Amino acid sequence: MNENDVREKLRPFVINELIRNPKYNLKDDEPLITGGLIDSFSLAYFGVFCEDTFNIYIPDTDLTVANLDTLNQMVDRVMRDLK
Amino acid sequence: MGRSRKPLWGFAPPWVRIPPSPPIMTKSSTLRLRFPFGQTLLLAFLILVLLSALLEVAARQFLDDYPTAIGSANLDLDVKIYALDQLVAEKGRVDCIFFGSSVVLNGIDPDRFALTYREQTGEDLICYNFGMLALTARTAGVLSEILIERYHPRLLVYGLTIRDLAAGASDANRIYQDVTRTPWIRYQRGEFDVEGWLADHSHAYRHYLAYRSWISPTFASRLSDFTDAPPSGYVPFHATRALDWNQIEAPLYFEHFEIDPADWQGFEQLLATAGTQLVLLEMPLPSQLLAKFSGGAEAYAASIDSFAAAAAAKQVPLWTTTHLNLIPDEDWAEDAHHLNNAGAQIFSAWLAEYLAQAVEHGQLRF
Amino acid sequence: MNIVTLSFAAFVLVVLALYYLLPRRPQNILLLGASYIFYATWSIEFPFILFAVTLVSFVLAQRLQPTETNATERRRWLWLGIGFNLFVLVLFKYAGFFVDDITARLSSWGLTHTEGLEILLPIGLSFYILQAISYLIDVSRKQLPASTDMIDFALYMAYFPKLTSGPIERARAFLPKLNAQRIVDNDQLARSFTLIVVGVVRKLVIADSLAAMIPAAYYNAPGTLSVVNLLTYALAYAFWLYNDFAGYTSVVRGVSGLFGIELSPNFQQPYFARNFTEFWNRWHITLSQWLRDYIYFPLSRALIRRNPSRWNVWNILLPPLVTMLLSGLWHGTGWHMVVWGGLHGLYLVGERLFGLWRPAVAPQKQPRWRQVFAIGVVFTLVVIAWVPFSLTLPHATEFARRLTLDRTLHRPSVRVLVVIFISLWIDWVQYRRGGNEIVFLRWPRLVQATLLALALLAIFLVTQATISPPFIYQGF
Repeated sequence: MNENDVREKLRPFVINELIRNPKYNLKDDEPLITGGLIDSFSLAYFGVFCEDTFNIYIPDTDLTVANLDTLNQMVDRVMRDLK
Repeated sequence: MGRSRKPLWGFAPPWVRIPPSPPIMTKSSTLRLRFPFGQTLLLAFLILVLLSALLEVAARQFLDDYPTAIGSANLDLDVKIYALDQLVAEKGRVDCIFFGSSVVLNGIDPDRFALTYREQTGEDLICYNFGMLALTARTAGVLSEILIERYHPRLLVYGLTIRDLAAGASDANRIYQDVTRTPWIRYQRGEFDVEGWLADHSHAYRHYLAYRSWISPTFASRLSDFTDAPPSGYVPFHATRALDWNQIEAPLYFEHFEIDPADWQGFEQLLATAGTQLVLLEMPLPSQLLAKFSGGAEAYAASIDSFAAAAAAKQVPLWTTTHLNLIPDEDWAEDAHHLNNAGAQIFSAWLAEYLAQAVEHGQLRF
Repeated sequence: MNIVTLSFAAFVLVVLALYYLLPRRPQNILLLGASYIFYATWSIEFPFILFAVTLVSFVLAQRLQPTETNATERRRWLWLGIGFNLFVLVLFKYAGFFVDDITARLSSWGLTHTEGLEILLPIGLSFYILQAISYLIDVSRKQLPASTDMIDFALYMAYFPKLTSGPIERARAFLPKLNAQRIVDNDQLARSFTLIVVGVVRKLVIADSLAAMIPAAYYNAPGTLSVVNLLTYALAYAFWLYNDFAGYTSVVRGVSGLFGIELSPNFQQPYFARNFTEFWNRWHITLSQWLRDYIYFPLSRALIRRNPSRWNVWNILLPPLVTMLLSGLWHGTGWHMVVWGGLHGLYLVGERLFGLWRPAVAPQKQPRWRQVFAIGVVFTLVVIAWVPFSLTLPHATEFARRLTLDRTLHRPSVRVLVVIFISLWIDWVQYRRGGNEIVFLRWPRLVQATLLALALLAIFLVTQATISPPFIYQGF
């Protein structure tokens, strides 16, 4: 799975499940948590989504604002484990 | 992180396996200050000095009518000194100070005393009651010297009962600790103390100290202790209820009287007071209470006499009063230890007359 | 040895003087020695307990290395480590609770000689136990290798600036700092000094004076106070607690900066939070993060795996409630702490439910009035929750009943409001620069120096007014 595939799977998840606004035009580098679009506790859903979709386990301590504030950061984090 | 080396100074319990260690880092300095530094701090100190000077000038110019304090843990002492300072500022001097515990505080009215003395001698005296709650001889020894040095009274009357020297008198040590750890007192006694120096020299600081209970929920009442302080220092007891002697219990030191060495030392310190005429005065107690003293009223009188003998050895008179039966039964406060206002008036007038006679007969240089 | 005292300042200066003379490795040994000496000044027994926790965690962590044992065995060692740490915590922190009960029962049987039964609560225990647990879990999750250096690990546990009340550091972030080059240059010195001055002002000028202004009746007879006073003192308590802990944290971060070791921030103007999630990202941040990483997320993920629906009632209710109830119990025993935790749990659940129906809008993108309104609502609910935090349940009930009964109106204490204003002003200055605690360093030198002079004067005057009580959070 390459970076684009990951991005294409993550984007609808973030828009529909985390932001819960299907019409939202999310930019790749738009701050999600510091921008107030989602709360940091929603990252638990991101963690489980990664387990189910990419078969990777992201430790709880990595589910932080500093690591996962933008779609780009999320893609990078997933790619790190996929590699 | 990932350290796979054993540091030079590192150790671990022997059962822990430690991987081999690569070379350690070379030492290097942690502190890397460049000059100049600390300019802001220096500037702040300059501003602080300037600010303090401004506050001091403002305090001296505009705050004369506001309370000051020396900053004692014993608020009584703060208030007494403030009111006495006010009196001296207003009248220019204080001639006599009545000093002692609450029996003095409630028992001697300086105004009545001065009035009677004028009637007897034609001389106007300015007097102040420096009675402090729970005071005993150990604290009196410390304060008497300061009072004389600061106010130069012509007469210092120390009113006492047996409690002033009794072991087990309640709160005796607390008030001593509170008074002696007061920075201003320590400074007065020759010990250098920055806060004591400030309290002695800075008007602004003394004003602040009067308001220093601003953090307390009882700030208003503490402040009113200053603003409502009686100018003469006398606090009257307005009791009217007749005493039920069956209900009144004598204090523990009545059952077993013993002199407390700390109070005796303070007593001797008091007797050594120089620079003014010192008079010791037995403060009256009801005969019904004295009957409860171990050995009865005679034993009580004998104890007072022993104090008088010690005082006489230092050329200090001790005027005994109990045998005079000056106070009618109804003129005691409800606790049976203090005079009520009527009793205080009688006693103050008697004291003025007695003093006038003593002066007239040359028994006292005053 | 309390932190905001001259004796602590002298202690730090002596340690610093030696520290700057030494190379990095002996510096760590010096810090470790200083930390144990510092801890012994509280009680001579405390260092032994700290050492026992440190040694057991250090040794067990070696067993959690992937190369050492198989997965099942590792899990067993992990639970042993967590169990040991929790046992120590429960033994010392909560046993006192039961000991009182046992002592009472024994004395009711006529046995009054129970001196040996008292159990002391080692200062800072609640904080370093959490550090030990997070270390063990992180090692087991392969997020960091087990430390092979007893001195570094012991220093992670004992480092004296953070020993008594945090910040709760993670080994993953802290251990590398012990091996990194430390530099204390002019900028670092200025930062540290600013943090210390701001911290001391918060602790001495704001927290201590507010603490003194709250009468004993607020805690033991709230029913005797007027509504206006109850509300004023509840506000005073909120700002006292905040400034006491934030002041302590600021001081210890400043002190640690003098050693060239950065400690995590713990507070970021929490009373300006616009929702509760934000509040917990601003209040006692290192504890919130610990709870999030080791309780909230594992529980959430377990529940989401069972049922991924966002509408599942357990997914919504359990993680915040369990996390906040445990937070309440960490803070202290007693039902009032459970109520405090439960209230915050419910606040978070409410916020989550509210979010289910509304698409998210960033708070900062909302109109200003709504942001201010949200700050007001969150702050009010936080203050309400501090009532059971600060009072026992019967007294909290008395407080609530009084609110409905008393109708007298009078002017609130101006002194309390003035001190709260100073706290709000410092917060506001920091908040509008993105939470920058040392924003003052950007100001012109004359302004900085004037503020510093005023701060020094205020500190002096407040110390003339009161004797500093110990930090509240050391009790937890």
